Amino acid sequence: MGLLSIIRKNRQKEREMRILFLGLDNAGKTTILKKLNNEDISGISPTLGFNIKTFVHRNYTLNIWDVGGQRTLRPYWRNYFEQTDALVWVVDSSDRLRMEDCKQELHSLLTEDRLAGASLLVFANKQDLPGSMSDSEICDALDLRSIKSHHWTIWACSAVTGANLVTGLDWVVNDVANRLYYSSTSVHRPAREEAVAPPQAAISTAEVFS
Amino acid sequence: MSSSKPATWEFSQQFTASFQASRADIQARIDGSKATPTDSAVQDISLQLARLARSLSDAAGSIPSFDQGLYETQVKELEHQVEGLRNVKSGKTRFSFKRKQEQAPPEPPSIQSHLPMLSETLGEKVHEPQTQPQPQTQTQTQNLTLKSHLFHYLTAADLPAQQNSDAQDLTISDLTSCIVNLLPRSNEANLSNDFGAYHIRNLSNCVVLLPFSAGSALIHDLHNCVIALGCHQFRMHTSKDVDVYLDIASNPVIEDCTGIRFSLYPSKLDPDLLKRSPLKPFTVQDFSHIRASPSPNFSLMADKLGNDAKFWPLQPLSDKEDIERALIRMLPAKATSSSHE
Repeated sequence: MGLLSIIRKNRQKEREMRILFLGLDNAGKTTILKKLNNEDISGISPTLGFNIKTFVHRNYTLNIWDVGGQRTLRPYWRNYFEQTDALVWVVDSSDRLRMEDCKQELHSLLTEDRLAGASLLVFANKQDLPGSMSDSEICDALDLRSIKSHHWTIWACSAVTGANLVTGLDWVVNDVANRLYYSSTSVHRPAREEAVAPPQAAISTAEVFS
Repeated sequence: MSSSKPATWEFSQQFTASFQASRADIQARIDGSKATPTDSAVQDISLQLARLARSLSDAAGSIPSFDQGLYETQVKELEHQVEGLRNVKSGKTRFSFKRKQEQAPPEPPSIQSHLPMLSETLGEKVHEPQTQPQPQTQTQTQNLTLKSHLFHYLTAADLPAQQNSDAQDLTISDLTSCIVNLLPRSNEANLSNDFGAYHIRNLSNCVVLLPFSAGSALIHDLHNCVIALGCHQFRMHTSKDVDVYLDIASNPVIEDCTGIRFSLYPSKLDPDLLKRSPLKPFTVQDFSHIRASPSPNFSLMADKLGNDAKFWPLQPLSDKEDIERALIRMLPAKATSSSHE
């Protein structure tokens, strides 16, 4: 093992990403995180304050901040913007009544300087409920296509069944990795607007280095 | 402190003016349609009246109590007149749907005469002539909706027909002085009563009895109401004087609320509760009072036996007076009609 690969390995250990989970109350932010960690999701209370979860995913250490979405807590969101690599916006797909509210909160977030450059993943959560809006409907309802300032994508998911949670997270990790660690990753990818990288990309990097 | 008094005074002046103006308007419309009351006109008037009543109950505390009492009797007087109009129009109608202000498409002149035609298209749904399904809910959302009623006892029969048996979200909004009972009835046990999430908005003087749901409950703008439900998560916003009877495994939260009282879901509404081991007691969190001191905005009513002994209005009531009486027995502030009897 050469010196270079040792240095690379060290660097890799330090790889951390800071991901912010936001969204209206009752969107399912905490539930998604608990599900990703295989924790019990039956007795989750509305988040008063915030939760931090740290786990390793695809060779990156993710620091995930999950901040409560109740209206009284939303003014505090800004305290968490600093050095955010990716924003995960969680939407309750069955809550048609508050879609407009949801859109406004999201778009006002995106004007924040301190979030400039952060990747945006929209999770269209609660797809397991009948009558919930599809990801393309939500894409229209939130007017995602007008977003030019951030890399974004939308994934339909369900925190209850776990569908697409890992896939969505893979997109986040890939998008951030391509931006931050462009030089040291073996996958060279031009910046994309909407395309979704296959989850294997990050794995292959891991294999190269181990 | 010095600024609050003039503000209240100014508000009360403005309120008096606008209240009297819209009262006169309603009176004029009632007089105008006395000769030939039409369905849409009556519904229009009663909707306007409901709005007036709501603005009055919202203004409680900000206007002199004498005025409050006076206006309440005036509103009641108007309600009687509207009721009179309705009875003249079509005998005793129990359920009638109020349309929104934007003119709904003209109604067929008589529902009765169209029954044969309806029954062909809707199948067995039509055996209760008073419950016309609301077409608007189908197009805009797929949610089940109860909306815009005044002095009604609403049951599952008032919901639009369910397409599939899956759990659907239930929306209840804009009700005044109503009783909503969507509990599963023992004699129709196979009737699907599964709801996803509950969205409840803008009710005043209402009693709402709901079964357990695996989804969450989102509640906005309730005034002087009683609500019994079971859910996964409970969030209540901008509400005042509400008694909540709750079955929940997580912690309920309130935000911008005052005068909320929490208690356990009474086993009288769901006898199966007795067979199950009790949930651990919930802790209410007040997001508007994030401090060490206890929140002044809610309290707990621990009297479990007392809950079962209350007069839960489980049987459908058709008469307005009966509904009023049932409401007065249940509601936290007995404001529905203080001068009644």
